[in-house]
Amino acid sequence: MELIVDYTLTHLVYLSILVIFAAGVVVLYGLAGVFTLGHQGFMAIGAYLAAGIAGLMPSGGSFGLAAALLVASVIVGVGGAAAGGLLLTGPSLRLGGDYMALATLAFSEILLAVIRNTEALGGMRGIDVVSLLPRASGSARLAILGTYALASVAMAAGSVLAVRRLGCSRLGIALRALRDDELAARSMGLDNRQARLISFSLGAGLCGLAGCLYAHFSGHVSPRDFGFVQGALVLLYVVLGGSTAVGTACAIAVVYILDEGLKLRCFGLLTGVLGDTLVNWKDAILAGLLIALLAWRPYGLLPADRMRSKR
Amino acid sequence: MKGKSILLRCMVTLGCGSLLVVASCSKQPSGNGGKASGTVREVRLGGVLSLTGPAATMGGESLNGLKLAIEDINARGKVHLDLRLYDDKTDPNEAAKLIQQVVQVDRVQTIVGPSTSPNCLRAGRLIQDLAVPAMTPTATNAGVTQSGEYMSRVCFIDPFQGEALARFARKDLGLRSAELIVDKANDYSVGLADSFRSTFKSLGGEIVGEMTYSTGDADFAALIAKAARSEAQVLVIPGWYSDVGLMLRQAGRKWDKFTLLGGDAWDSPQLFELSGGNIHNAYISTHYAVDEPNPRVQEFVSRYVSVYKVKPGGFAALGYDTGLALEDAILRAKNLTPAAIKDAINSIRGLQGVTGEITLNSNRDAVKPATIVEVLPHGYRFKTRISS
Amino acid sequence: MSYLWAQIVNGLMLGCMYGLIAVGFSLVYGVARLMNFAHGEFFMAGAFGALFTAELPLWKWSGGAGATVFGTLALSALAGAASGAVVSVLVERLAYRRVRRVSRTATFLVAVGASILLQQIGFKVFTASPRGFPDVCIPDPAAVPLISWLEPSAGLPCNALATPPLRAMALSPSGTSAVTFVVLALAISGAFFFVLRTDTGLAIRAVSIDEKSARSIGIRPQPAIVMTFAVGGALAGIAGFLWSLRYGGVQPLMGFIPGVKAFVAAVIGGVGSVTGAVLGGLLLGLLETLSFAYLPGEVSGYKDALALLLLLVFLLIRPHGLLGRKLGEAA
Repeated sequence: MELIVDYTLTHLVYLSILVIFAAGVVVLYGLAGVFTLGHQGFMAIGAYLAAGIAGLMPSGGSFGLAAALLVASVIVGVGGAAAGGLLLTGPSLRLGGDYMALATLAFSEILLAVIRNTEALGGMRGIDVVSLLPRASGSARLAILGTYALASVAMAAGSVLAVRRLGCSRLGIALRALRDDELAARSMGLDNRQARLISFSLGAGLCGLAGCLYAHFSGHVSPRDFGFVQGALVLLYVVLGGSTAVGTACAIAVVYILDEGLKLRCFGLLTGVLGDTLVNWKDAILAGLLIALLAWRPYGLLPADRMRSKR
Repeated sequence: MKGKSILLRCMVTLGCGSLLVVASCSKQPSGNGGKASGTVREVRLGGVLSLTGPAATMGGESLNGLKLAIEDINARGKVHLDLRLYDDKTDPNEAAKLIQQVVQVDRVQTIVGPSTSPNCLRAGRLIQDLAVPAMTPTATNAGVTQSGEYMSRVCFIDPFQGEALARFARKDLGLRSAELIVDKANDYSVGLADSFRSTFKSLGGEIVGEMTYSTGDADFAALIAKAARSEAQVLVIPGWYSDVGLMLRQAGRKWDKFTLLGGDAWDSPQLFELSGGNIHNAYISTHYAVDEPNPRVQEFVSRYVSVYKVKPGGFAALGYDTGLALEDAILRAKNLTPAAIKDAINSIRGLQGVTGEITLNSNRDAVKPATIVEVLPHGYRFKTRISS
Repeated sequence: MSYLWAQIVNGLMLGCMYGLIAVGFSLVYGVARLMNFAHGEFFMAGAFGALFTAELPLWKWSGGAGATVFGTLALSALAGAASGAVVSVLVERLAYRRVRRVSRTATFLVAVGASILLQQIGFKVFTASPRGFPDVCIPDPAAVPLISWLEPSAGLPCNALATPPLRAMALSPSGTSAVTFVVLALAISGAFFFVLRTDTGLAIRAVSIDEKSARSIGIRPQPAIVMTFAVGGALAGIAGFLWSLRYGGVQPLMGFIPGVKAFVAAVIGGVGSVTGAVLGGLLLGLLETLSFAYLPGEVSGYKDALALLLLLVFLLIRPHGLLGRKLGEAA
């Protein structure tokens, strides 16, 4: 039982990280209306900066120092990712629709190419992150893991609620107005540039936070963790979740649990030939299912009414 | 708005519910995890191998060898191995996930794998944290076993392999200058190139240049034309057979003036298919030669051929030896907890395997000679053995 | 000089293949306003179609070796084109048609989903291990003047290896270059002819310029879209055949990188323009090959990023590409 709780808690942490990442994408795509394909780049910035800060930890340093470095790494990671987001604000004011998508994709892929080719950043194989969080084995491990799971679930819930609040705030309303009809919104005195600056830094910052947590928890970051497909999948969840933070979190939870559950054949029913086929074809089935869902409900499973407005 | 929140609540409930199902439906352990029972020592074995992807031959062949060994071991009746097998698709992250899964869901006491060096390097710390011994049949990068005492291997390491290749090139073939063609995305390739470089230089050879590519590249035309201009006598290409095969096919006869050297990652029947037989003047270091006169080897080869209808490569022999090593360790272990099996594995000395005599040193690396074989257009020929 | 020439030939070959994939991508974008991310998978499907045809024991049924070789090559090319076209039309029918009018993100994500799905099916049906394309040979390469003209340094005998005879005659690299060159020229001029000279091509162009006006003069957009997908898929399939003939390996993931490159080539050339797509492909192929040939080894790791850097530069300086109209802003 201990082992299975350990397993579940570990996946709960990864699930929470994914939810935080997706909350960032909700800000970028759902609120600011930017068709982004480069958000995994922001996550990579957060993760690598956090790994770098963790590397400053001397071996045998005190617990206080570790805690200080942990906080510093989160601040720097989020800040760095937000700065990356600001970098893209300029192009986003000039490029629309598909072109902006390509620009963000190029941004993150070039970033990853630099990481892959820089020996100091570990190149293709990535780097081990010096462990700032206490590690242990046995029952102590479970207690520590439980604390991480609680903390990360709390952070995920916090980010989802914050993004939800943001959507109802003055800024959120302004952003949606700009997204739905830029000309009309600007003629009413809304500052497009400022709104974009804020939303980009917020969205990218959340992605960076997810990156930080990922680096600290998994203990290893590599360019593979931030590939195009991972990013596109999260965008897919956001669309399926109706571009709202809560909906996206639900979509992610369902797909993630389905994925892991299929892998473990754990619904009790999955034995024999049928089980083998399902497990073998899992990825193809999930991809087909997602396409079908998108084709059937292109505005998400629970579309917010505003998303029906023509994009 | 009302309908939406109800739907949302349903989804949340569903999500939490299925999480609970995942948590509660896990299989209960059927064997006894802790003690050795009676005469038969039952051990649940997790296999995390690269059965698909660029290292498919590595994982697939070693699995064939391992299965053969398990069959033999279970027939001998002293140890019973129950294999839970997973494919990591040659993806390091997938390997790490699966390691956690086999330990925590399948509750294995010992792991065979991961197959490749990048995958072992990625999963090393996790294996140490989970405290379950893992024995890799095929990962040769020097850093693999540095993660701690739970990681061991039955193969030699790249610093030795590179040294053997360099000594063979310099002493046996009398070649002076070399050019390296390195797969930058592969730790194995980079490590092997490094050790070749330093030994070759210390023996008075000269490295005239270095080129890089990445796993999965398909167009080698520019690389081939550039290498063809090189002054070197030997091209050293420590890469996967899947890339090297395409490279050799595209090179055709443009590289005829060079001697080619490769590592054990060339050792796959796919090399011949992909290269279309365009292999001239090539030698590799590997774990054993299929035409070695040693009776132990010949017995293994004939048994393997009778089961799988193909000749076993070096990885198959390593897979078989991994099984033998585990049997040896399990028989000597004080009890069948992962920690006790780990201690027994780390004290393997002088075990007679197909790939030679296996002794684990203090770094938990197997110390044994490398076999140099000549690669012919459709097969191998035993050349020499180089010991450390 | 001969080194430079050899590398330019290499770059042009690669570039033409990128261009060939990019043409289909560009046409589809023009008509359906869809960034078809799954286009690389049509290329993969074409490669597998060509592979299986080339593996048929044709030599049993045909007369001379020469007829066998050219027959195999022609049949493989056709099979590649056909499988690319079939998969492409199927994907259009099953996945894109429903979401086309909804939102750009949804269509793009459907394309990504289709790409993953096709790769997964490829894994399951064809397995992940790469396969070698059978050696198909021109009996006497020296007899074909084009070859000695392209690569004068390589006068090559076929080496006799084993039966069956088809495998026995290894196609020399320069022989492959010649075949590649001829098929590429045929395919690209075919694409031009189709788009510029046929009625269907005219309809496609009309829909891509203004769908409403096209409707008003009686052009139905849906058949034009299906036709575009068929032609685009066929071109990608031919590129798949040429790619596996020249570079030798066929595997389910092979479409991803060339797909992304073609994507970039199409944007650089200006989406919607056939000439632009070919030009973009050539530019990319040459840049990639020549940078590898003349820059020091450390830089070669940036090969794939180079394309995206070029893309970023174009997006910032000239978003509508070399020859394109301004598209994609309003929708």
